[in-house]
Amino acid sequence: MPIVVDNTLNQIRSTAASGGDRAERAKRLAELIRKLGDYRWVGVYDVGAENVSIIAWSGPGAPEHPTFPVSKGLTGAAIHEKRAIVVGDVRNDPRYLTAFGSTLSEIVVPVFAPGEQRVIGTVDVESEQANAFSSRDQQLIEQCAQAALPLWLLR
Amino acid sequence: MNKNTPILKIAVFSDGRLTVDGVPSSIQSLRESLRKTSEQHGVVWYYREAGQKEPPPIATDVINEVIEAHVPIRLSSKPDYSDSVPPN
Repeated sequence: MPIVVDNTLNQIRSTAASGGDRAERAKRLAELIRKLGDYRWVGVYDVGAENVSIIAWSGPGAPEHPTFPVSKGLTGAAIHEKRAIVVGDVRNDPRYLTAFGSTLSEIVVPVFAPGEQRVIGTVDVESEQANAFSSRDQQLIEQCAQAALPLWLLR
Repeated sequence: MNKNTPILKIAVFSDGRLTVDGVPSSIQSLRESLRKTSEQHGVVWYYREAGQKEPPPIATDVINEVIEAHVPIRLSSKPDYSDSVPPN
């Protein structure tokens, strides 16, 4: 694993598990992930029984839908299918729930409760370029999401 | 979770004390308890004193051990675990 990735994953682990304000920790995590892949926008979400809610983001601005039902959008698909959802061109995917008008590609990675197949959070990364996320990006973001798990457990 | 599911009760106190099933413990012995709980398909009930305040360093270690052991966790704000709920 490249040193910069290894260092970032370590930073994500320590940030997620540190004390202090949870939203601030989540923002720092979003910033670390965004910087790692030079992504345009990264959001970190809570997944509850009925709704998905933004905890924090890094990028140009707040998402259009800070809270939405668990069944909606690509996030809803990731929760339902219990796997990462990657869409190269959201204009061709009816599941897409607009966060920014200029988004063309998106990846949503679920975060699972330890020892369970239950999704408790998601990491959402968006790009203004089509087909922006390679399998390497997916692997990287999945590693980041796994490293960030303490954020959802250490309240 | 059914009534026969083994439960490992972990408590972390503000002063850094750790108990497992009510007995003072260390991270090393917790690791062993988690290994057994995982083998038995058990679940962790986790309580942290003063949960709204900054966690003591050992709380981070405990959470990381639970994640490493892949044991389901239920979180509680009460020392008797009467309000244990899944994360989120």
